[in-house]
Amino acid sequence: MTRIGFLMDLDRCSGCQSCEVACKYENGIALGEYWSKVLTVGPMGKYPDIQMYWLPVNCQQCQNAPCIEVCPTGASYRDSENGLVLVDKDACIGCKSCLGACPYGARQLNEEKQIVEKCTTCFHLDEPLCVRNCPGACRFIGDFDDPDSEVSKKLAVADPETVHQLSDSGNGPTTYYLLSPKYAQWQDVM
Amino acid sequence: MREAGISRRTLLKATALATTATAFGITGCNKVEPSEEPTVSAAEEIVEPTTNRHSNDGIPEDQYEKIKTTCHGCITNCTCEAYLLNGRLKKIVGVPGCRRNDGRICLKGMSQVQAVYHPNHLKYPIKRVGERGENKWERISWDEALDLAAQKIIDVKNRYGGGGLLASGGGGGSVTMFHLRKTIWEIGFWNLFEPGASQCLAPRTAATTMVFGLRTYLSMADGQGEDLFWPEDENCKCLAIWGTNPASHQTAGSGRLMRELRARGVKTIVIDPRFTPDAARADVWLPIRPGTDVALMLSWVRYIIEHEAYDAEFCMRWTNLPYLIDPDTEYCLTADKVFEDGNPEDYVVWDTLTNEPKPLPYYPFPEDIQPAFFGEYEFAAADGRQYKAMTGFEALKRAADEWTLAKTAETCWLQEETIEKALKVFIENQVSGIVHGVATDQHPQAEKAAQCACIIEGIMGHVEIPGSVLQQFGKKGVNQAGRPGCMEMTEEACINTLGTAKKYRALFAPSCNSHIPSVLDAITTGEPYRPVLWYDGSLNKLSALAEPNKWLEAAKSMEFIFGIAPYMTSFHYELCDLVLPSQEWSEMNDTVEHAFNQHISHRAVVHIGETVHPAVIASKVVEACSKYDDSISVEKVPGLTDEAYANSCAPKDMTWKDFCDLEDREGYYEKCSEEDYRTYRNYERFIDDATEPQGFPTPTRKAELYGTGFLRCRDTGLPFSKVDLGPILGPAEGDWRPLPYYREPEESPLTDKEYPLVMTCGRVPYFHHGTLRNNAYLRELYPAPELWINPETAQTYGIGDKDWVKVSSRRGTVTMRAWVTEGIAPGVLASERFWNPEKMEDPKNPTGGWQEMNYNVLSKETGDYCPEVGSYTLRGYQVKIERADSAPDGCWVEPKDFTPWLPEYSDSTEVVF
Repeated sequence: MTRIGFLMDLDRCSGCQSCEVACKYENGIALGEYWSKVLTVGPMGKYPDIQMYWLPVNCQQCQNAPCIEVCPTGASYRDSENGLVLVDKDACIGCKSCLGACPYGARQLNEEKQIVEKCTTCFHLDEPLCVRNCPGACRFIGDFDDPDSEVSKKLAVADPETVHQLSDSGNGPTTYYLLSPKYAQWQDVM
Repeated sequence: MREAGISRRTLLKATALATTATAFGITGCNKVEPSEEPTVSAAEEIVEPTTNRHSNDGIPEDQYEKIKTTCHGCITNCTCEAYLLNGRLKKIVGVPGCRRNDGRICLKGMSQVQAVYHPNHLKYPIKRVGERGENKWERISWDEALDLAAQKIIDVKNRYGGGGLLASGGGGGSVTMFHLRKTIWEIGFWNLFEPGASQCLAPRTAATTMVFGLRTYLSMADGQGEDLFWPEDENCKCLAIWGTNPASHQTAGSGRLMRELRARGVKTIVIDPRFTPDAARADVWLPIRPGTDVALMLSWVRYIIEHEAYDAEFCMRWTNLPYLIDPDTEYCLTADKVFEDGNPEDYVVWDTLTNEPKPLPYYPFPEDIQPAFFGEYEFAAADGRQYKAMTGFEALKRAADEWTLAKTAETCWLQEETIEKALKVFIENQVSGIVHGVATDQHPQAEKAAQCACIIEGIMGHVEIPGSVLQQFGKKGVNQAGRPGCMEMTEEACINTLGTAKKYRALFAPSCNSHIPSVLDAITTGEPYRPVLWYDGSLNKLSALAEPNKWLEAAKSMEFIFGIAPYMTSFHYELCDLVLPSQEWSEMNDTVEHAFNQHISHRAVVHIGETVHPAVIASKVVEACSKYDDSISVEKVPGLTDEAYANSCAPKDMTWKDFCDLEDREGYYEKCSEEDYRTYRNYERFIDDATEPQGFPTPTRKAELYGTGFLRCRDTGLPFSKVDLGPILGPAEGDWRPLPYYREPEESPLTDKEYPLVMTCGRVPYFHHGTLRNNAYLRELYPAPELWINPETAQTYGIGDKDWVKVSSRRGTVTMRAWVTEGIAPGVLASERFWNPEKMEDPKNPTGGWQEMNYNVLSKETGDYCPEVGSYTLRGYQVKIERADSAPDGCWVEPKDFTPWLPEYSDSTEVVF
């Protein structure tokens, strides 16, 4: 089985949003539409004793993807070859059911084409542009089922206290975040 | 637009809620077991492979043509590749090979695609046909344009001399800063200014030269702090990031490096009113009150002396701190004044073994005396004169004495224990260092802040040692002395430089020397002479200068104004008579000569319309002038054709083509090995057959931590001015002092009742200087200047998060948008420089776009100037605020508003020259 997902090292993320811009150039995304976002979390606390971090969010590649479950046409599907959750643009009728189903708001209606799109992990490239260009080298991608992949190795050596995922109501996201408590306490923001 | 995650689906719709509702202590951790077997939902169906389904429109790597080049979205010069499809630039991708960016590139760099194909990228020269400010233009040929500029320049020169001619540079990004500096003196100009000089680089470069004699400064940006870029050596253990924001201003360069350093355990202290990304990762954050940095720095000096944490060996052997000071002249006492047959090159110290003054030869250091560091001593000179003289170290100690932790905390709005914690981290983690940013350059204590940073680094011995910020690499161990700010400048121009020649002489340190308020005053009053022609090679002077309304009024009276720019800005819209279209960085052949030990090409990948490289334009202007004035020669211009300029950018004895071929074949060109490049403790080196170590390139060959360099610059203008100004103009006017002192900002929250809030600014990752405000993907992210405001202050004024706010100073009023955040102190506000290019195309109420959201409408060009370098007040002044109902009319805020600026792709054209 392959289980492709992102690993985001939040200790290194400064919220510059270069990943958002990289995504837009690579995928030709319209103004006002996003497959990838960076949220500012905080500052928490009271001046001057405060903490803050940034949370890059795109499709979390859920193992039990609600977007697939609700799709009436089968346009949202899991690819048998690479295991990715994807959208077949020809099959999508733009009903937006999946927009409501995604717990993270990671799907985007393409207003012009009236279909739903989202992060594809840029599987047409060796490495997504958001990972390749990331100025802070915060973003990694790989197969979490391959113990020799960079992401598996990073996860294996990470202090369990630093490892986080977005809230999981059984959908099983395959994106991991590393955030050291010395920098900030993880917040359940989505 | 800043988006705070709080609930589901915020990805698509930003909510106005802030996460401050979630307090500390809620763990919220979802511990994961990565080895857990994934389960596939029963509802999911495994379907046929991707190849048969249309799930991705992306273009595979092998379909692109890739050209290696270097980004010039800011001045970091990140190595990258331009990806082209059918000859059109589609994306920018970082490539490894240089330590500066390690293969990374930020959003400013990537945005070149929308910049070069911007519908408003100027494609040919245009001449004004309506009134100034009417925005009516006609296309003219390059020959006509250059001839018009030359006729006007020579006409003014013939009538008024060099004083009639004014040039300005600056900009950044695609607007390269150096071309006017290299060309205007030949034409006969007397004045060139850049907003960046006294407000940016000059105070720090001047201080480092006056203290250490070196042409470098304490920064990790702009090619400084080079040793830090070898983080794997782990020599540096702690950095004080003082008034700089590497994560935002050089995101893939020093911003990336900071993350590497922290990951390797480097401790950090961030001194910044804003809770910047680096502050959020710092060991200690000191949210200083804007404008009070020198007080905090003096408290560091005091603490280091009091706790004897200084490097006594370095201070004794390599600084002037043990020298006795002549109380009359404030210079160090030389041996000829005290001893019979004393050597004028030896200095006088107080010997604690014999309790008498002794001459101290430069080399070797005598082993039979023990000079005192501190104290004031009475003695008689050989000629009978009675002296009461203190050591340089004693004078420094006294200058810092009042800055106890308690007084500093009160003055700087900090906590005593936080200041002490920072000092302990700085002292206990050696080698530590200060990376000093632009913030302190932007108020009247600019030079004193820069001097203080040099003093702290000097007494700690952080000078050219492994891990220190201050280095002189790539000079083969030979220290390179400070030099006249502009080698090409004429003596006549130097003596007549507005403001600088008579007062702010350290402003000769960079090569853009004129004192900005003095220039404005000269245009307005005609005193001491009136510039009537303005030649600009930057971007938007009406967003970069304090009080643009005054500039607009004054400049309207000028006879002829023309600019070189890649697109129209407020300055061109309101004032210019002629605009010459310059290239965006992806159109230029250029070079990065100092990428550590490498020399890297910056290659043109596309070419739009009739744009020309700004250096070639500047050269062509000289050539056009030479047709009307025999005294002007084109001999030294950078290049009259694109090819000639490119060839001048290649390493010596190579053509541009050879250079590019070599890079393609062998990777980046190395000037020397890394080992030869990184030379430490150059001052201890014996150069060639010397019998003495070279020391520092100061007159004493010591690091002049007691500021004799300041006195010398006051008296002569040296080492920055082209000529010794002492015999011609006498000593500089103004309050020059050899040591730092604190001065409360002229507008101060301690006394100002009418404008009670302190205002400052700082960088954001989206833009470099005045650039990119017309870039659709970037303005979508940051449509309007964010106003940082503490919840307590916001509540006082009834302002909520994302509300529009009218901000007023004694100079004017603009609109910004609130970010209500605990990341700034109550009573302090921070924002970002801004202008609104969309206003120039507003069908209803067009304006130049400089007055709606421009921070510098509020900042201050009058009053206190830094005595040494003339800096005015861009940070740390007083404002008041009130809630506004909306954004100013015609300012774009919503993402779709920026649609008119999406790229208009076109085929590349032939170069013009």
